[in-house]
Amino acid sequence: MRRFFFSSLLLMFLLPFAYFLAASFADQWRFPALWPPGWTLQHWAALGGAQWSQSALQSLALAALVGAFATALGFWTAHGLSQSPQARRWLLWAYFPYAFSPVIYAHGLKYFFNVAHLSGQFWGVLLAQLVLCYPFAVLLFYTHFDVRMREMEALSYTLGAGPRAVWRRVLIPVSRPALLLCFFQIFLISWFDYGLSSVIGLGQVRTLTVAVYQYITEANTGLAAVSACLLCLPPLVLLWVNQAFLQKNLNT
Amino acid sequence: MLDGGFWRSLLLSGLMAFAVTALSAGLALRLLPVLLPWLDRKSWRFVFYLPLAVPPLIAGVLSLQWLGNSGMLARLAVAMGLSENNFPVLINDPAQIGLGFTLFMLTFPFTLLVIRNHHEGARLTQLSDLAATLGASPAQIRRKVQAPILLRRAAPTLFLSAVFLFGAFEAPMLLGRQYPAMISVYINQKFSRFNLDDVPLAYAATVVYALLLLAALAFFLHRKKQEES
Repeated sequence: MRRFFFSSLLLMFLLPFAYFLAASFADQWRFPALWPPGWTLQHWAALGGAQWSQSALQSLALAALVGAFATALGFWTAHGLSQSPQARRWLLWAYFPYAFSPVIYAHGLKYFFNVAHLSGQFWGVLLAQLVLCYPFAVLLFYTHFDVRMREMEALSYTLGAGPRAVWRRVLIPVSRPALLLCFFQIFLISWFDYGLSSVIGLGQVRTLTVAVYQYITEANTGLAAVSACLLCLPPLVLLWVNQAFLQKNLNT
Repeated sequence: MLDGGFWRSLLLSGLMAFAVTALSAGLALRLLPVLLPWLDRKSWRFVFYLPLAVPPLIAGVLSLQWLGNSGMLARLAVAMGLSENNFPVLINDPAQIGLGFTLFMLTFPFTLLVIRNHHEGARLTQLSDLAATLGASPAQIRRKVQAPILLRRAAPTLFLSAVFLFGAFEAPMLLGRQYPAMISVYINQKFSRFNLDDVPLAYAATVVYALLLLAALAFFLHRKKQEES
């Protein structure tokens, strides 16, 4: 019985990856065929096209930049917030964009982005995602700056270190696993985002998620499957890195 | 100003968030003892993290490809000799079964991992052994020892998970009905229409949604503070 439950779950968990991989190589896989009549590389060959490269690069650049900026800003803000007696009040507002539906948030921001001529621009989408991810980073780091961290910082000052040395030689090295974890999580939030990218990007910033939706509305299953495989690849790699290295570092 | 559609969307989102969270938590609690040997093994644990690598949009697309009228399940039904007309409508259906199932599949693995972490932290094995020594049956141990402790510990995460589900957008956009739609889809529809009269309605709906969210978060932080003190 145990094995049956586990095998069923295993099948369901592996299904998305197996299906999209098969669909990305399938040729003319139409109803009611249970199995593709033939296999082709044509969907993957389309990856060499300019539109694809642009989508993949835009998604990658957005996720990497938003991850880096939000992690750095969140780390710095949470450090300051951990010393504030009003921290709890501020934290309520930090939870707000984190819990808000990104698409509604994007509609709320859209007017300001239109006025600033940032709608439909790469930097506009980046800024919008940063607005959403920055509070998330603050929340992640707020628990990181606990009594032990504050005491370690105070001890460094007592021993004669300046503020710059404390950041460069104590706070950042000690927090390296947490910084990496935060970067990965924000990378994934940005990588998975569809709502903000479609509303602020106006379809002109064609990230991979926007491309998937476009292919689905065009009933182009093959290319949608290729985009789905590409979208799942970085999270899988990060998951493996997280399991193999980060968890070990965080536990030690 | 806000029409019946808004309140129905709000009700649908609330019910969906509650039902999916409750089902995920209930099933995770029930399956945890069964799956614990695999969850504890480092080589297998990775498998339980795999669904977290699937974005909501891709989960929606997958359900579309499997549960739709020309999807894989319908093909399987035809291959088994059933008529394609007899295959039930699972996408954009009135009961929102396809949408509920997709949201459940997105939430369940995460809930299972959260509950498993709390199981480890709460020393439930020792407490269960103690209850068994005092004469409790396995069902009583599950109902009266494990479930209350785990649910209490996982409550903040489950609450936040329900808040996310309340505002879910990608899966409801692909799999849900247009009327009543989940609240994010409803507000997006109002903002995106050419009828300019709908724009103030969209802003009003956003304000109500934001106030509800703010109240929920204030409640969440208040409870958290109470439990810490």
